[in-house]
Amino acid sequence: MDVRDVAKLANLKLTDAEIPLFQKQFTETLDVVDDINQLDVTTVEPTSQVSGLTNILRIDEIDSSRVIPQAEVLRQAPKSSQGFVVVPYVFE
Amino acid sequence: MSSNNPVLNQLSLLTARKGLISKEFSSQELVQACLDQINKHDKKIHSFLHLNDQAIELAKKYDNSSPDIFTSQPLAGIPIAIKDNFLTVGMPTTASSNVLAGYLPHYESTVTKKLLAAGAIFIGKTNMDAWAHGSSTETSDFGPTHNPWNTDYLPGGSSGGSAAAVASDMCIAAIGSETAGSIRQPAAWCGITGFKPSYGRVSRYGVVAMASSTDSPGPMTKDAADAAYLLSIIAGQDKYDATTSPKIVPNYTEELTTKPRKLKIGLPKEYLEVLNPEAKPLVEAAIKHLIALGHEVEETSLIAPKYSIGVYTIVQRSEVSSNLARYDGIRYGHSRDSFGQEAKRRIMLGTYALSSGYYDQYYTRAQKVRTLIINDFNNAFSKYDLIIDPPSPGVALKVGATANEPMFGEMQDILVEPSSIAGLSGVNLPCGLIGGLPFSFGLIAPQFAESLLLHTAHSFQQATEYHHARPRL
Repeated sequence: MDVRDVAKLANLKLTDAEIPLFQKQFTETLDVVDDINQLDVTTVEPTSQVSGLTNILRIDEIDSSRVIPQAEVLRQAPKSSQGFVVVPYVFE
Repeated sequence: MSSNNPVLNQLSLLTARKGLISKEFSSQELVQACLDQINKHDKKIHSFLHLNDQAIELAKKYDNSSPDIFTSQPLAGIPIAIKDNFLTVGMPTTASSNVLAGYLPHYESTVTKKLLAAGAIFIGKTNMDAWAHGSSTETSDFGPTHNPWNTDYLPGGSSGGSAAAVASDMCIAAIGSETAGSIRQPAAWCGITGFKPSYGRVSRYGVVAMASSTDSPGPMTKDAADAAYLLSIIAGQDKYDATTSPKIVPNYTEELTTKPRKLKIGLPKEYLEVLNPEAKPLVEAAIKHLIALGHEVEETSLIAPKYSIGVYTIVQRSEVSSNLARYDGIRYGHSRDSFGQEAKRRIMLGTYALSSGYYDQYYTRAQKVRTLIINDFNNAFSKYDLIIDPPSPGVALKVGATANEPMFGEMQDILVEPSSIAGLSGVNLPCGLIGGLPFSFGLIAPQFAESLLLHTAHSFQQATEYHHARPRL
């Protein structure tokens, strides 16, 4: 398991110092979590949530109290122009 | 009121409320007392990231309102501190991370919305481990919070700022959140009462998400009666959080006065084995008090808590990797380069555990072991009303303790991870000092048994004095 591959998947840039540090720490963590293989899970299903609820739905209607005005949306963007949020260039 | 000229910021929420209603003092005096305390002590404690410059104006507004405002609004004029992962309109919300530095939310979290509607005055936003990734408040991107009992020590985390603020009487009460231990452990390390509601009891809407399947917002207070009062206000189904329970929220305060019944309380020997040796006599003393209150305490056996470390680490870090993916720095905020080391570690472990080829081995298997732990609790709760669960093996550790410990949080939280991954409610109860630092035992209850838990905690505190202890600042 190469920490550089995982960092790429996670969209994180690691510094040169972080690569060996995280590689070592990662291995340590995986050793600890390896414990989960000691118990017999053949008879159980995975639990993904403990609320006991399923399929909480709502009518597909706009809740106007939660509509964010455009000015508000743009206020926080570091760069905006003519009503658009300006983002870094993403094409090669 | 207990004495003439009480030190106002030292009052509990319920006592402060009585004083406001009977006009013994004004909200302005109450808020000013908290602000004075902050000015005097927060430089060395660093509970707060942001102070509300409107606090005094709001207090004046309440004092000049109709005389029955303090009766009609349950929190009118009461200064409360809010952990910085709750979105608050008008105050920055950073989750103690550089990625969100300067973020001014445009919507209010459900919890803070409810508190505001009840008349609460937010005194400020409190420090935490960045993104709640920790059990120390040392991983805050804005500097650690220090334990008011001894500033060479940590307050615990991730709600360390809130815990320290309550312990040092810089506020009347505070709000925190717990993913696994983040309310109960800092409350234990700071000698206050932290209450973790069941998952789904309190809305997570507007709380910066950590592990979406365990995050539980809750009160951090000077005593269980205050926690009960606050919980009634913040709990409840929320249409903006589909995981909130439709169960009616009891009047927890009223239910504190019901006739106590004799409970059967389980004492897991596996939990006792994890305790530091110097903590054991304090737990035994606390158990004696429970027995004196008429309860039966019986040793029992649960799945060793060490297995919860693996489950929690994988599940939490997986959910973290998903929740923090949105902070791409493309439109808003700062870039992902601004993530601290702890955040990067957790995001990467989670990404790995969810990645193709590893998903079944890690994430699915962890969720299966989670089922074993849930079943184990269900079995235990068929025999016992409550289970003893000290949130921390010992007292606070020194500032610097988390350095070079890639799993500090998850290892520290061994005793609270089982109840958190099962979605149960829990509370810490101060029960003495070790080397001048507070220690707590704790109790956990089945899901949605908050009333029973609060009642038991309250009766323990009515029979003991431990929770009254405060640090000398």
